[in-house]
Amino acid sequence: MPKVIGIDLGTTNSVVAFVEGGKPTVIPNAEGSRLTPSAVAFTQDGQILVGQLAKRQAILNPDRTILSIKRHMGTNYKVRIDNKEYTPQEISAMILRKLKEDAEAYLGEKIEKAVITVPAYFNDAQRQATKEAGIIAGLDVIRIINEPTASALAYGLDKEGSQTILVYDLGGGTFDVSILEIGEGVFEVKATSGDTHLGGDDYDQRIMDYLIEEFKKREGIDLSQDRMALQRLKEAAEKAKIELSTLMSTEINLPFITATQHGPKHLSVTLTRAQFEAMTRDLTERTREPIYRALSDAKLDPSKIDKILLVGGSTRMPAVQRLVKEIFGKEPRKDINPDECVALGAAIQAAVLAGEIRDIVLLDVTPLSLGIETLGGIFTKIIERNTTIPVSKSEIFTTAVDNQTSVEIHVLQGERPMAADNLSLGRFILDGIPPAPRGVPKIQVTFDIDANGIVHVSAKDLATNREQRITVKGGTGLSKEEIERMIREAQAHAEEDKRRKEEAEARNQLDGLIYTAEKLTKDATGKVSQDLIDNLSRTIEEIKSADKSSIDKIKELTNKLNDAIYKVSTELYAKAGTQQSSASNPSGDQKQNPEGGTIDTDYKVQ
Amino acid sequence: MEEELLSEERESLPVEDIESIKQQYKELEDKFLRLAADFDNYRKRMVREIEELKDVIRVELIKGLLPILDDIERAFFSIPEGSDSNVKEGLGMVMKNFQSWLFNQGVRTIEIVDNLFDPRYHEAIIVEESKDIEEDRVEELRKGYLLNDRIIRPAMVKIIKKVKEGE
Repeated sequence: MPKVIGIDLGTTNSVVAFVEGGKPTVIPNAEGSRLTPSAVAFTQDGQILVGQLAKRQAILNPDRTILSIKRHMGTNYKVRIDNKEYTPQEISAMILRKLKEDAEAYLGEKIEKAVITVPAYFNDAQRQATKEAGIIAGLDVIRIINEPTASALAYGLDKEGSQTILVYDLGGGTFDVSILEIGEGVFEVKATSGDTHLGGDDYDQRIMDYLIEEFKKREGIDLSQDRMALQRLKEAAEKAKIELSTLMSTEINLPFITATQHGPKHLSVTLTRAQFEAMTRDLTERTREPIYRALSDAKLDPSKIDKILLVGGSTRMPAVQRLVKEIFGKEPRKDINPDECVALGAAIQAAVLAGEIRDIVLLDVTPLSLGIETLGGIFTKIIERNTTIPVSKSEIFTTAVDNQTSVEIHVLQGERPMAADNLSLGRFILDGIPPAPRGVPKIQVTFDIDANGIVHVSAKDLATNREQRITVKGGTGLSKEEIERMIREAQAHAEEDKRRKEEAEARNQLDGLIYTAEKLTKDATGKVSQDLIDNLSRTIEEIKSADKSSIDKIKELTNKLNDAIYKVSTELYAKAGTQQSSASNPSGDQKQNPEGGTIDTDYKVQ
Repeated sequence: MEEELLSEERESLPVEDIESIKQQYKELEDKFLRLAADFDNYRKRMVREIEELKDVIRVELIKGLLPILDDIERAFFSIPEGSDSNVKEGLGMVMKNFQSWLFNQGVRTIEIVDNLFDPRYHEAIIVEESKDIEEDRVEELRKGYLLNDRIIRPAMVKIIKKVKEGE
């Protein structure tokens, strides 16, 4: 089935998106950019340029470069180029054709159908013209939808029951406010208002004006006549505006901005967010009146608005967000990229109409990690949280002591590193493991979560194929609140948990080393001087009864034991080297330590 | 006996049910194939995108460094020849090091060929007219750069248009 795309055909910029695997995604254009300027140019040699390329030559070719054609949609306006007249829909079609072709190149398939968005206030003629533009571009426009409706779809508000929402859309050059009523999947536009000539570019201009003014005051030079300097100021102003959305102050440094007979001149200005907000307050305030007008047209009080959506790149400015919050007394939604929100919503609508959304296999994820308890009370995760299910994962574990014939598998769920802090889902014992040195048996533990979220855990001794299993019903059946609480707790205890885990690991390491040392005293007897053996035995006994209450103490004991082992093994190797003996190799055992590839399972002495 | 039971069971299933199961099977198979195809396409595109992403990340990083090189170049050319030649010489070396590092990264400067303006590589910011030239001229105001045919930034240019005497 061919893909259907969603297009936000904007006044200054356009965006195209599609749905893949149930998620809307923006398609970058041929130049690698997610936003395509809504600009068209007819060059002298008969080429048609669209997007960034059209903008680059605009000054050279002003009569043959068309910007903001959307403002003329549905009117009798004509663009005249070389004695040929073009309607607004023909110009728009050139933009749509580029979006279509770039999407085809990106997706590697033909695109025939699209959903295109228009402002909520567009009348029938304007909507018809938009549809015609699509047809001229070779697109079957399966629906024209309102931009605020698309935003609401992007936020998934159609699934949240009846509500009244306000969409605040401050783009590059236009401001729109729309009030929508959503119920039973039907969107009704209650009121629209706005300012057709207000946007982010006005904010950039204020910073530029300020920089020019400051420079004039300090140096007595007017930069506004210097095109090259203006270009640098424009770039710096936009950068400063963006930075002031996250920083409280920014430095604008433009060295060698101009030169006089006395030498080069530099521009260096520090701009605080407060200064920026003061110099643009009137712009932000200009959005207030349209909001109240829309509210009064809809006969609604601000308190009757359930949700406010912020759309358009300029809504990233903290002053804008503050104004909205002040009017409505609640936090606006702004979690979806405001530049892409409309196109994403259009893509969702496109997928719904194409029947794609219905066909989507709804995939669930495990809300919390699953795993087992291992040596020292550590929680070893086998399936990480947010893994898409159904899923199956296996890991090999081993025994912790010599001749251990059974292991206990303790199944846990949660995010904390220590087993005891997580939710126990059940435990079972796998026995009948043939006696072997620790670290030798291979126990395969498999977690399987089926499509219904039911967890099956099995443990299999790979030597005998003996297997035990457990099924955890409703294991992931925690409420949303419980899951959130567990994740929060994991974050809150992260530091302390990390320390405890490190301590448990250090303890495991020391236990492993004691095991190695004990084995060495047996293996090395008669091969090295008895003094060294006695010293090692004494050290082992000392360490077994020593205070192991802190990680530092454990590490100290580990070092001490390592020293004693080292003395024995050095002599052992020195002799082995001369005798070509194949005496057992203490470092061979260390490979089985918990630090290696195998992890000792928690065990219980039967 | 067992066979009889089986055939009885088979008969007991009404035709409509079989049809509906067939239908469901078809739908499921279609859904599965579609998902498998979607995933395969997704995988292929991701491989391609990761390749491209490497360039995109480098382009973004280099784009951020270029204004610093611009400033170094401005500083260099603002020192008059002869005066303080040691400082100028040193700054020239800083500039050279920067430029050769860019070159080694695969970055190339955009050239203006035959005084032709090409919007794929050039951005016009000034247009002037002159009677004293033979034909239209394109002058570079700020260097443009490419990385593996990807524009890091276009060259910023001034265009001087020839106008005929008396126009």
